[in-house]
Amino acid sequence: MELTMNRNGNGLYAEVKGELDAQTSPDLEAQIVPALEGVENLVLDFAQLEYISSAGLRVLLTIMQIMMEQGKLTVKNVNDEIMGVLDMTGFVDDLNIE
Amino acid sequence: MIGTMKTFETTSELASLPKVQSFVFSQAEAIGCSREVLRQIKIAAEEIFVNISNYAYGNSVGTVTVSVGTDRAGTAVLIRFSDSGSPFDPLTNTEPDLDAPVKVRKKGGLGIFMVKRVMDEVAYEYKDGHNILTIKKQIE
Repeated sequence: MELTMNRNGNGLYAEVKGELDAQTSPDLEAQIVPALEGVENLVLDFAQLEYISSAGLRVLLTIMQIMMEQGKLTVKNVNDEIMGVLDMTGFVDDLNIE
Repeated sequence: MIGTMKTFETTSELASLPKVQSFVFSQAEAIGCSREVLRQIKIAAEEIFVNISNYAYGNSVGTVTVSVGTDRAGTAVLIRFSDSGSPFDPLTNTEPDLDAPVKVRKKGGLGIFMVKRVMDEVAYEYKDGHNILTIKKQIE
């Protein structure tokens, strides 16, 4: 898992790359949660996200819960495989996916 | 109804996950699973192994045996996870409420739910001191 973040005022653009499994998802949480301080517009770019398991979904849910309080969350460039998981677990209904 | 199975033994630590994934993936690939099935197997194998890693041996570390093979007909892949931890049937867990509002949604239960969704069959038995979870999926 590799996370690249670009902060612009109260906006944050975060590219999540590689695999979000039980080993790597805690790293995403540890890196992104502190960076959400004061963020009102978060974009998660999944263009290079190749795999997500329930561990990754738990971190995504944490991010969704934080952004519900703070502002807006948009998820971009979701590939078919990741979309399949988001669909199966009902996450598609609660995410703004572009 | 099981053909020959290849077996891999490792420790229940989370750090063993890549080795488990690599073994399961290479065996399933050799059996001829499609890319889509391999992707689903990867999810199921992680969720089951992580469940064992977290719960089977409490705070200590034990052995996990993973076997991969086909059914007699050779049309379905079978993957079996065995541990000698406390008897525990993960399939009896309550299903997550996916319609619960995001704000109050619980974070547990998604893993086994996903295993059930991506596999054709999931079976649990406790035999000779072992938890045995077997998943089955048509090769294509």
